[in-house]
Amino acid sequence: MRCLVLVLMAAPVVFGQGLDLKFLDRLADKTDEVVTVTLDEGLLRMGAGLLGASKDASDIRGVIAGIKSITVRSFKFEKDGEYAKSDLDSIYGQLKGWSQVVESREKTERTGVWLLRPSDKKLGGIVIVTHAPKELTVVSIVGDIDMEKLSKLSGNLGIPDIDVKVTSPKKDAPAKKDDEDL
Amino acid sequence: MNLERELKQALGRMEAPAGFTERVMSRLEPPRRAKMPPRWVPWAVAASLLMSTGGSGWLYQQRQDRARAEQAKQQILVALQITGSKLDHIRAKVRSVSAEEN
Repeated sequence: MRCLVLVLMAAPVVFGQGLDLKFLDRLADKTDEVVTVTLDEGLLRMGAGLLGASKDASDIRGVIAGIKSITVRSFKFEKDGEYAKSDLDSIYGQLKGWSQVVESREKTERTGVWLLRPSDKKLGGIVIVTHAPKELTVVSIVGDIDMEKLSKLSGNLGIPDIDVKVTSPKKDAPAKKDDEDL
Repeated sequence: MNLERELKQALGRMEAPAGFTERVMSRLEPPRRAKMPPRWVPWAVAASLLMSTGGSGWLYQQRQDRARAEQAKQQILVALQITGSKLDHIRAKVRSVSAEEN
């Protein structure tokens, strides 16, 4: 039975579904600043087809070539406490099997990065969760992610300069980068 | 009396001569058949209807696909922007912590 439960939990990742963030959509009623992105492989290919023929477009196509799904939910609220702790628990509950590589904690803001690594040389997904009293952002990208190509997108289309190096962290051992806890 | 007998003879029933009916019928014009459209006409109508319906459906589908692709493109760019900004934020944190440690 335990095996079955584990298989069912792993299924969304295996099939490239990423995190299920639909339960957060109810928060859209509480703010006007909402970003909702849900792209499966088919839509990614369709969208990539319209990116044009420029160098930037070619770079973006290179980044998303192996990606199976992108899911983003980002909310900026006018007042505190619009989302519940159970929302965060539901997000973190889906990250079993992922390795947390970064955890940044400030007074009221917490940001974490999780990676899915099917093998040492392969990156199968990345999840970024940021939550502050007036903000909740979750990014889930599943598939073959080439971080070098992603880094090369720096400055393109308003994407800030990024320089992320993939290391080999111990599984489920968050690397705390800030001493201040919530 | 002669007149009466002559009238009876003149107005009496007489058998038609042999072959009379056939001769009359042969002189009559054959009945005209209602003019039917050629057999291919219904097929042509059906085909044109099918083509116009199918063509409209295909065009509609093309427009829908194009709209979905355009929306997907925008979503890709937004997703990459958010991902990039969050990674940039984290990188800045890591750098500041590293600088403090050094």
